[in-house]
Amino acid sequence: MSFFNLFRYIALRHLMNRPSRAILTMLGVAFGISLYAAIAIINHSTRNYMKESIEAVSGKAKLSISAGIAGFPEDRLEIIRGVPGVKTAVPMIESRAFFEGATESADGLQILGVDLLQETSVRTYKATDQRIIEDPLTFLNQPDSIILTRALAMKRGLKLDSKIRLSTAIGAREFTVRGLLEPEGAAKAYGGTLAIMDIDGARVNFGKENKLDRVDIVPEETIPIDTLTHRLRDRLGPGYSVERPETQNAQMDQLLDTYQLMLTFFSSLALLVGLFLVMNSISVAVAERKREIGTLRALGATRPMMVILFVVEILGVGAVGSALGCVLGSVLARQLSSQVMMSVSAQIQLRIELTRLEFTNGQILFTLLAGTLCSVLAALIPAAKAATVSPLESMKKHAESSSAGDELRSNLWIAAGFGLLLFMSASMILHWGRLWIGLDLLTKAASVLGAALFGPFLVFLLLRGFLALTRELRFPVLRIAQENLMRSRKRTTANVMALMVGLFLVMLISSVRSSFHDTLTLWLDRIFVADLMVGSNGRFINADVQPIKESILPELLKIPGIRNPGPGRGAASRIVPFYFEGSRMALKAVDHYADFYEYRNFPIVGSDRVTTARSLYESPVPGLLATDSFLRKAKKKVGESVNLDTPSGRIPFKILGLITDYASSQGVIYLNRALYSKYWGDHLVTAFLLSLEPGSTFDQVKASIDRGPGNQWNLTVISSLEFKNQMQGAIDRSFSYTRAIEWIALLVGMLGLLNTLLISVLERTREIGMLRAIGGTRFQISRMIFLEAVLQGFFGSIVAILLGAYVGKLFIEHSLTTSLGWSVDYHFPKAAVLSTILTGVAVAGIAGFFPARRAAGLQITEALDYE
Amino acid sequence: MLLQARNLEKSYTRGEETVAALKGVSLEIPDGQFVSIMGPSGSGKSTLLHLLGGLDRPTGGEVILKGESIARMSDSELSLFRRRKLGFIFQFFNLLPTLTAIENVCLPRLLGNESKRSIEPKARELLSMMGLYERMNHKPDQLSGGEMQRVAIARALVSDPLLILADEPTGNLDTRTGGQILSLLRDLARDSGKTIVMVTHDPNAASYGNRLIRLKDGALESDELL
Repeated sequence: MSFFNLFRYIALRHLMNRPSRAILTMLGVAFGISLYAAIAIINHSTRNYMKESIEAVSGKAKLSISAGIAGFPEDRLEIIRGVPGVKTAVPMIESRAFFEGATESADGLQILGVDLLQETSVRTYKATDQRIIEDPLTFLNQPDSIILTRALAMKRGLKLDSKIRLSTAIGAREFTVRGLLEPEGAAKAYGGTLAIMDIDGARVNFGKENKLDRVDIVPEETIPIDTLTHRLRDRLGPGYSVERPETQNAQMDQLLDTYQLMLTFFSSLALLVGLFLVMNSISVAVAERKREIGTLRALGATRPMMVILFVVEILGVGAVGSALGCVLGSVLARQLSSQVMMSVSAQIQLRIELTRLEFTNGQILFTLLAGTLCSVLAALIPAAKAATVSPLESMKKHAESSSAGDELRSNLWIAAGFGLLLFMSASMILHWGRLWIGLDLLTKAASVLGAALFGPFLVFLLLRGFLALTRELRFPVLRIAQENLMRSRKRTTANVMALMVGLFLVMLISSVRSSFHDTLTLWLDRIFVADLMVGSNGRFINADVQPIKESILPELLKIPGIRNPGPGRGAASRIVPFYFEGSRMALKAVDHYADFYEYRNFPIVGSDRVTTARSLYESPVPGLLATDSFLRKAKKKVGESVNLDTPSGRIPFKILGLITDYASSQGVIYLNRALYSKYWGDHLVTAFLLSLEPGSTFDQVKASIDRGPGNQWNLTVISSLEFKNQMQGAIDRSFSYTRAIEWIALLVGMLGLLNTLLISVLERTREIGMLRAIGGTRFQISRMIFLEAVLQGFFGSIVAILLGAYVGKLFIEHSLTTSLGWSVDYHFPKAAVLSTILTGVAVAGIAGFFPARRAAGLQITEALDYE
Repeated sequence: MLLQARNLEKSYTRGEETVAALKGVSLEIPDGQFVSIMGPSGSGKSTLLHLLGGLDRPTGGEVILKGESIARMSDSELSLFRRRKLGFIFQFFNLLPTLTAIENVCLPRLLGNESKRSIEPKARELLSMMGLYERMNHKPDQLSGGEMQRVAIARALVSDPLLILADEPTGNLDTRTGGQILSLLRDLARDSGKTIVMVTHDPNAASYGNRLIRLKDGALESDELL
């Protein structure tokens, strides 16, 4: 039979005859695909954002020179211009800024401080009034001038000549919008969330006097770029990055790789649950249509035709489901992007705010094909089973429910599930994933498949135990329900598998979330010792704030109620990203402040806390404290020296101790701020960490600061409790996207269970008719079916909790460190236990409600006659 | 000779016990004969029909149709053989519930990659012959038992097969309807020269054929022309 005939006369007719079942399966595919598509959209848009930002800011430049967030001395510009082969070298100041009063990163913008007289040789700008670009003197003569992108102005309701107040390193300052940029050239960078200022004004406002953040190079046409790169590197020495825009792109891609891979893994899990639904749905369809398959075989259909029949049936469902999944994915991407970006930004220490989500035609096509193909692959195993149906089945009135062969196959699947779990355990404990990324992905897939195949066996064991415990109870419906579940092993397995995979994922994700949450919360208690934190506008918890001048501290210490740290000590901290061996890490420069280590449980690992922390300030040679991930990257141990490239050259630092810090998964180092200021030339401060005098209260001190220096310098004051609460909220929010995965997994699990339960009621129509004929009431029948669903939900949840917690523990302790770089302690998600059981029972109850009603509504005579 | 069965044997394993369903049955059926196979339950009559129709493989012996042995055929060859050379009539009709009567009739040839349009004239003719012209666009659940079985007979004839195998074709019908179906089969053999092998446990049904084979305990008990 041709593909067309099979599709038109058999597959399509079945789909049209039972649209509800086709819709259930289609929704399963759609939900599974939607999350996959959403993450694909976000991942792609993030990479695009990075690429566009780099290319837009680079413009015609072939090379860019920078030296980290602290910048480098202005006099280097002349040295750069003197290097043979440099045709044009254009300077720039780059800084984050915040609208006055901002407490969220979303209220920030990127400031590009440029010399408009030189800019046009590198970057292009298209303003509403082009005179502002073409005659920069107009701009220069009015030092409060700022040019915004049209997109940003619209977002904040601003027009030409509007006044805006931005927080700067020297307090809040008022600026006048003198121009609006169309989304072309440099204005496309950072999703359009940027403003242009005069370079000198930017220097003064953002504490970068006599400094530059970046120089863009247009080379002579005759010189090879590599030659010029080497010349510039030789001339500037270590501590300077001389890179092509494409190299910066590659570095950003590399930075995003690990995190995006994890996101894709989680989203693939939801897809996997959807595919289980497909597999389940085709399995029951094959079982249900055994006689029809037998008839077709008797009439001359070949075995391959039977496979094709079910494949073409799912092809349509998979294709429509995938298309719907693409639409849902686009909507979901909008809902999830800000949460995912928060999480990504924290992970890579770089603020990303997606203003545009892009789902390219290529991606749509790929998602459609992947969804359809995966659906077909999921249908292959049950379709292959259809091919083994003998034509003799056509001669039987009722298909046989099970056979010795089925029993053997079922045992083989259990053994395969156990084998997969063993493989997964060995692979995670022995870190096979480090050998080859494919093995890592296989290990993760094995965890889900293993749980799905082995879980139902554990459910049977629990059911058997429950049956023995409740044997004496006078509750016949419960007993019949239990025995039905035990007797119909195949059917129960299909039901439990559908729901359990969803619940297993919920538990696995809860394990990851609770481990991160508890580890970070405990760490925060150890590391954050001050009573209050004083800084400018922005978001304190990820150090995305406007840096301020260190000279503010003496004014703060005059406030009554603030304890003076004493002579030779300070209270300032500077947190900046820095590059080491191509990885973007966090550098924390802190003043010598005893509270850090003397009075609290400061997280120094493996050595005496006080001695090690004090050595940071008292060591005769430059020293640092480092996290485990930094040491791994540097291939160094405590006690050894590591060279850090600074704007002042390459400086050897002795590794004084190991510290736990989660500011960056790539690595964190702690330096004495005095040394940092000396070698990096950066005297700005991210925040001041202050303690209260005994007897004074936070509210009193805050009020005094607000009235005094706070007013002058636009300071924000928060208590340690507020900071910890914000941090907890941020941790929760950065994992909030995982809730979407849980919901989708549960939804698909519920659809799967509903599907299999409905079919099981159909299969048991005669049995139900018989029960009614011998005196069973409608209520008893509906209660029996409902109880069966609830029992499966309850025991499925218990097994999902056990397996999810086990796999979660292995994942946290062995796999996550490899892939993310963070060492996270496993914390059992206690709160998730009850909610998982309740969710499992509720989902099963909802799924069981309709089949129970249907069963109760059957007419006895019709049911007994049902074929 | 149209059909030859040589020393057919079939045994099953049930637990540790081996049950011989057929113990060396041999028979020959010429063109145009309407053969009834009778026997008590467990006599092997259904097993014999399954083997003759290539639905199952014998443990020993062989089946030859028009000089072609089906013993060594692969599964795909057997499927083609059934599609092109045999017609089946089942006790429970086995019509596809999602197809109309005429589509059910076309089904064997649709499996052979023919277009519905090319099969329809023949299917219409057969349904007219069965008195179902007006019901051709009805689905099985809109037809009576007798009508469903007549659709099944039309389906068995649509490929113009060499042999029609019928398994208790009146087992699920009332006496009057059953009689009509049997008359139809008898007419097909007598007027159209079709060869029919029918398994039944009903002596009255068996009497419609022109040859009666009795089986007992897996062996041929008697073979007589009626």
